[in-house]
Amino acid sequence: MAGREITRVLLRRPDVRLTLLLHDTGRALSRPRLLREVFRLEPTPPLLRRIRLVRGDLTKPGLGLPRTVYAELAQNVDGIVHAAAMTRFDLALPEARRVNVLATQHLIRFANLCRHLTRFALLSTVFVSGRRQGRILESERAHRAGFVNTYEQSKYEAEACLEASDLPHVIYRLSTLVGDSQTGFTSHFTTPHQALRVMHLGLASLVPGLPDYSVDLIPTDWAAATIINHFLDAFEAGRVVHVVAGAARSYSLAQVIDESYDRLGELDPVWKARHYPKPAIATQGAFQLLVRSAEQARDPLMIGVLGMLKYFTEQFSYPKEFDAHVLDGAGPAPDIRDYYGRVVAYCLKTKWGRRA
Amino acid sequence: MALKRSKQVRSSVTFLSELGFAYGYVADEPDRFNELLVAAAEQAMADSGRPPAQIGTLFLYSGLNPHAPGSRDAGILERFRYPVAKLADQLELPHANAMALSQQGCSGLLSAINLAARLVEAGDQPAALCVAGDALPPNTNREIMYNVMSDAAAAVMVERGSPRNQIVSFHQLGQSAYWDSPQQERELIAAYFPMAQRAICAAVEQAGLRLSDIRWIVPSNVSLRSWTILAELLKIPATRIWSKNIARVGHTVCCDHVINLRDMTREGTLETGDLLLLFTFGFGASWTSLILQH
Repeated sequence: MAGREITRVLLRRPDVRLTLLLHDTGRALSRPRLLREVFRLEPTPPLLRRIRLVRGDLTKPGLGLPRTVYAELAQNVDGIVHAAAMTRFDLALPEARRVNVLATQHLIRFANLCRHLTRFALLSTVFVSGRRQGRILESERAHRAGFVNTYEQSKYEAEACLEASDLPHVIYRLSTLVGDSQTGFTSHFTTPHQALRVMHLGLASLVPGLPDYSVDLIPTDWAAATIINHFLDAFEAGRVVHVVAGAARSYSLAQVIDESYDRLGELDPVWKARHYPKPAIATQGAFQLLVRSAEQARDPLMIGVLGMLKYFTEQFSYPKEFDAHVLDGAGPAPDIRDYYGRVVAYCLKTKWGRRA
Repeated sequence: MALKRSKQVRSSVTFLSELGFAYGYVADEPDRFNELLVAAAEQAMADSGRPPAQIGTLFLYSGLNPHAPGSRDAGILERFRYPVAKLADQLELPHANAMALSQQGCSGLLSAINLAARLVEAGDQPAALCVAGDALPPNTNREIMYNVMSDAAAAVMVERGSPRNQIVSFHQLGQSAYWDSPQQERELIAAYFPMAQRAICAAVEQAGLRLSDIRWIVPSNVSLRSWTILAELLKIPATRIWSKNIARVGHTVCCDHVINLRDMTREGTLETGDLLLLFTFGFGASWTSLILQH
């Protein structure tokens, strides 16, 4: 999701020529189709001239590219934005590492060969802080608090790989992306959207966590603009940047549940008439007991619903505040209160991606 | 194990044991279930010492839907053969207004007690008798929403000025949007905990009490695990939920609270003045609390 929006922002900068390294699964897409269908941009000739596609696989040595392409890119590339990641939370650690750590290692190896490289960006997550609580500084990474899921751990390890390199790099740690602040559009319906769907289905029972936990959500358009402004215009090698909304611009866990029900009720009167109760905010222990019951009863629907939540919601028991600075030219994140309704409306309108 | 062998429960014994169940009671001869109702009612009458002539109302509650289609060959008069009238006759209640209640699932007996109490308080009848019970059809699946179901009958005498188990308050949170239990099973499972938390807190508040004032929560005998979760939601120690009968009795449709109260009394758990909160969910759907002072 972040990679798409960042590419859109980069394509709006006429001085930037882009080489997109796409995974093999994107093989069928031509440049015009890619621009239109993935980046929602009209494939004008000037735009097409500024974009090049190469097919590869970051998890393979040599990025899965033909040797000549690999060498030619190393001659010409002067900046790298590493936005490739597996953002699923339920992967086994080896699989999460294969995509998020090994791919980073391969890209670092490539970057070391790039003679003109001036900047390397890694998109990461503020949740590399794992089970830490309290104030989390941008300058901090190492900790022994443990992790809620393998995504967090693998991104933590990816950051360590980059930190150990001599590359001129910046790590952008994002909080949770929820969609476009103006339209609510999202290209991926991630855990917050799926949690909203569970509420809409009337299947939300328990949410583990602390009622006043600050749920830091950020819009994709703002996050992409913030990252690219910094990357192109204010790059400071060695820095870590928290791309977050902050507590003042975020809902608490209790509020995000309340707002979700209020917005769904306004937008869908039929749903409202069903009077589905809001989920209770529970302890981890209570939630895990419910998960265990669904698993033991082999109830596939409830296993799916609760399983989706369990890899993510444990964070709600580790309250933290992410240190952040407003970057030059970027401005603070939009307040979630100003655009959350659009996110909910987009989910409803598209039936969570089932209707284009 | 016997229920598992006879395929009346589908889940593994290990799972059901973890949920807190060990036994389920099955009526030997469902056709003779009426005898169980009579026995429960006679015991309640004997315990109260109330002469039958002073019982102004007889409520008979059944949680299972009685409106199953009858035989085509049966005459229309078959439809007017009422179990509650038969029960009144068997109990020799000369003045009781006999009436059947139904369709509140596990909440039904608590609702019947509430109705009876209002009648007794408002009218000139000194007592009302509430009898309830259900026997599941033979060889049916006895596992409903993670619970093992038992057959049972129970009876309660509701008397004006009773020296014990005085009704402090009754509270019921209804959600008729959940009326289609088979189609909405998952929604009901999801709604159970948030609604239970809300209903219990509202009941306690309505009574002008705090949860800490409640000495015992007298549960419906649904899974022990569900009560552990609910105790966490309510932020009360699980030890304040009297859960011994979940293993040894299982969950009856509507008799759990009465059976549990009787056993709590017999084992000397209750002290005069104890505030008790009886809570249950009932299909239909309703979340019901009855607060008593022992």
